Amino acid sequence: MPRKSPFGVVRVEKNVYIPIPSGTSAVEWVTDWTPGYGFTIESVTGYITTAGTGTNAARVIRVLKGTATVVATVTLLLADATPTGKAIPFTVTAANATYLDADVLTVDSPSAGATSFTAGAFNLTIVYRQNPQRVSL
Amino acid sequence: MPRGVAVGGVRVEKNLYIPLTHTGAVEFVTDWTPGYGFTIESVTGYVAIASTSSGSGSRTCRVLKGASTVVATSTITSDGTDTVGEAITFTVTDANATFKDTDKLTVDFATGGTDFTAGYMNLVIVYREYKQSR
Repeated sequence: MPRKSPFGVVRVEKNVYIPIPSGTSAVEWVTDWTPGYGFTIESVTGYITTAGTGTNAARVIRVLKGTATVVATVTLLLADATPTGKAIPFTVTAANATYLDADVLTVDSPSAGATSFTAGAFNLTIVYRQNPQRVSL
Repeated sequence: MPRGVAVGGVRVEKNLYIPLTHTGAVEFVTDWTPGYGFTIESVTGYVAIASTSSGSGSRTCRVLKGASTVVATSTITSDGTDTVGEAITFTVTDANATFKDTDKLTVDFATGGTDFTAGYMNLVIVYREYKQSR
């Protein structure tokens, strides 16, 4: 576990509310977020706010760097989407998890492997660390 | 307002979108375990979609440490959630507000009260952390 360190890193959250759409089309909830500073994603977890429904429902949910580099992913199945409050841990690929100043972050669900949900939503919590930075005015 | 210092604390927000319409006891976040320590300073809800319940909705929303230590709580009412943007202030118990590395955070509606039939809020939890080793 991290110790306090006066010259260490800061951990910050990015929270995104994700309503699961019906159908199997690809969807992006965040497209090309470009904060303009570097960071490294440490964990990604969803928390169900509205229980999922839909026979054999399944969606792959991803956090991307750029258009195609998978940083974190999970296959959300109907059984994982209930009850409310349940945690959905994503698998983070540490080798891809560092964003440089100009990198962009996207949260999406591709159509491949999708079987339609008819209801469901979750709060996505991305925890990342950053180093202290100069203020650019 | 806090002054700027080179080696001070950093304030971070945790934002959650919370439906008001669930019945009975329900958890919106169960056992979030970030793996680092922090201290909650304030918790505030902001109405995103106004509630309805014939004026009688009333639920107790809580931020917990572990299974039962109440860190922040607010009784959410119809009157307090009938206008979009309205702030819902939570009472924070400072003595319970520090989470250690392995502590877990849960957000729930306690059992009891009167159900809402509509409404959502954005919950903003502000916490303080100190710089940490990697």
